[in-house]
Amino acid sequence: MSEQEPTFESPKSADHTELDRLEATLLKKKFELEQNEKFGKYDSIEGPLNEGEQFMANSHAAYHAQRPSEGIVRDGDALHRTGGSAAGAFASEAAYEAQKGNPYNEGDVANAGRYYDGLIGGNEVNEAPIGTDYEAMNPRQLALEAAKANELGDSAEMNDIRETLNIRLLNEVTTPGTQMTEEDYHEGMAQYDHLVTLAIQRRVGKTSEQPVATAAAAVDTGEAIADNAPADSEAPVEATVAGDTSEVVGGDTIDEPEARTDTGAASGEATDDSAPTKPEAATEPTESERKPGNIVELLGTKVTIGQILRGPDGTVAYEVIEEDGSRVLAYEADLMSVEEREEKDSPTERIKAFWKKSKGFIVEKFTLGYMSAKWTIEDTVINRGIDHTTSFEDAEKIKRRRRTALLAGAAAVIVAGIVLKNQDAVAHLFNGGSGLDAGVPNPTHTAVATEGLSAHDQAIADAMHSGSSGVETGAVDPSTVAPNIAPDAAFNVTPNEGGYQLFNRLGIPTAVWDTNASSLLQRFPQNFYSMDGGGVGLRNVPIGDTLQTVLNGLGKSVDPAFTLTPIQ
Amino acid sequence: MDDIISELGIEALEPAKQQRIIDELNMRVGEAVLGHLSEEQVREYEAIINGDQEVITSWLQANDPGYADTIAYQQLAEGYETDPDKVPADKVYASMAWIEKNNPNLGKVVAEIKEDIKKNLDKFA
Repeated sequence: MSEQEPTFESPKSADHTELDRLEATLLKKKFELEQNEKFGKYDSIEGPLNEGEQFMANSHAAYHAQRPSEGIVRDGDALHRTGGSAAGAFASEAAYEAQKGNPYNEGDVANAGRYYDGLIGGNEVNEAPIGTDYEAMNPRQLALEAAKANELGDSAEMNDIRETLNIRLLNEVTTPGTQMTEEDYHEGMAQYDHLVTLAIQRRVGKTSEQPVATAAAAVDTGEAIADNAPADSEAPVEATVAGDTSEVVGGDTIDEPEARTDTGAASGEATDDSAPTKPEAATEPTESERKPGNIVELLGTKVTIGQILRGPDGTVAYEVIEEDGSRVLAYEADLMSVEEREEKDSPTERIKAFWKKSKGFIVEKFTLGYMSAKWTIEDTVINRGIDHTTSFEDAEKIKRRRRTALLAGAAAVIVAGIVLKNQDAVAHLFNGGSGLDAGVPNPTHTAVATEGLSAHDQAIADAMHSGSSGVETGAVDPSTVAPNIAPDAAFNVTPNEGGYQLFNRLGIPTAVWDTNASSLLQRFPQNFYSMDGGGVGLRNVPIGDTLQTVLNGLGKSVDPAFTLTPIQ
Repeated sequence: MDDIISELGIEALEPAKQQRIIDELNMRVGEAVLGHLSEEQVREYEAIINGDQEVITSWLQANDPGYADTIAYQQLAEGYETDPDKVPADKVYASMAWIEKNNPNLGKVVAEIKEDIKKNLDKFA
């Protein structure tokens, strides 16, 4: 039997055994605690509340309240899904806040969930963020993206976003034939910068735990953002002071819909789908409909009002939620309540809007200045085909008829435009045209596009073609087109009569002669001449219809300062 | 104006050429809407556009006695006091209503002339 070293296994004391057990328990508890902490079990869910006493959207509290209670374990930095098909979620508040910097996050819970699903599903996270197809975004959406980038301190991304819009507008303003002016371009960029300011404010308001100083700095970066050098925005805007639930943002507050002003009649008019309409002056809404949660229309689309924001200059804007959940910013002028929409859609309001919009253009055609300019310019269709072989009488008949036709044509094109663009409302435009009372549809108008050529139509067509064989229409036989209107005997010039005498005889103040004599000489050298002393003399020749019309116009002018526009 | 320029597809032309084409359009439309009418009717229209108040009033009374209650007239009359040109609303209203009343197929006529001009734009080059 070989000798063996003796072994000395002293039996553990009961104390040691207890210690080991406690250490094991401690380790287990520590592990559990760590897991629970990482899972966010002990996170506070006292988040910011909205007006409905619900957790404010896009906060961790809102996320926490809806996430699955199990199925997630976290091992170090790795996430593991357990529990079969259990949907995943982010763990701790810190993890939730951190993921807001990821490209998949659009600031709401649903997107956070999608991001997580992407992670736990083993999919490689695409570096190209979802929803950053800037080319396809309108300025409002770009502003939201810029605000997001600002929150992340990503000034380079902000630059890229702004440049996307800048290039888009530059392309548009430099396109041949564009109606966009350079002023429109600058205005568009200024509106965008303003939107970015508001969008930043929205994001700051979203996490209202913001320290006031930080929030103010973010809001005040408007100019810096415009210059793409936002010193203040380099630092991420993070919620660092939990429990500070002040809603003070940039010196202003998230607006409670109380004091409001009129929305204005221009609501919804002439608004570009891609460009926000910044109010001319700082305005506050007065409409009771402008409350969070209420449904309004944004450029014809129903949206729900989210937050109400007031910019540093007092401008009110709204964060509105579209049907697909996307959020955009809108100004007061862009929004319209259902009642406002119905009123605006009424025939009466539409016709009023038409006339308000078109009145200036229409009335201009009947001003003395316009008529005089059209009637006296030599190089126009009025004088086409009239040459030295045309007798004075014939030439005057032709010109008289043509200037009447020119003005009738201008009016007719306008009326036809009304007919074409306002088919259902045209019956309200003129009572006389229909012979019906206002408000009663006129079958004549609605049948315009469907009737065949009647004898009456044929007469019109014949008339059209008689003078439309080509652009270079020759002289027209005045006997067939010109009405035979006897000249006014008052316009017969008597021997040795001068301008003063003529004007006196016609009842036109002689001051009007002084003002217009040189212009009359320029336009009607056949009737006036330059005297040796520098004055303007009157030739003893017949006064044609054109000059008669001008003299009539001068005599009827209610404005003593009215002058003929000198020929340039 | 911009609408007509756009409709005719002449946005890229110089303003002077645009005006020439628009004058052509107006002239031909005017000849079309007046060409089938009697001399007396044309004289009536001339009187209206020349602001002959007697003719304007009598035509409106005969053809559109309720004109003053129409939205069109009321909108045209609005702001007259501050209008530097003092263009009478009844003159503008009557000028347009007269055209409409005497040309029930106006829309078709104008559309055809526009199309013809668009086809012959090269002649304005």
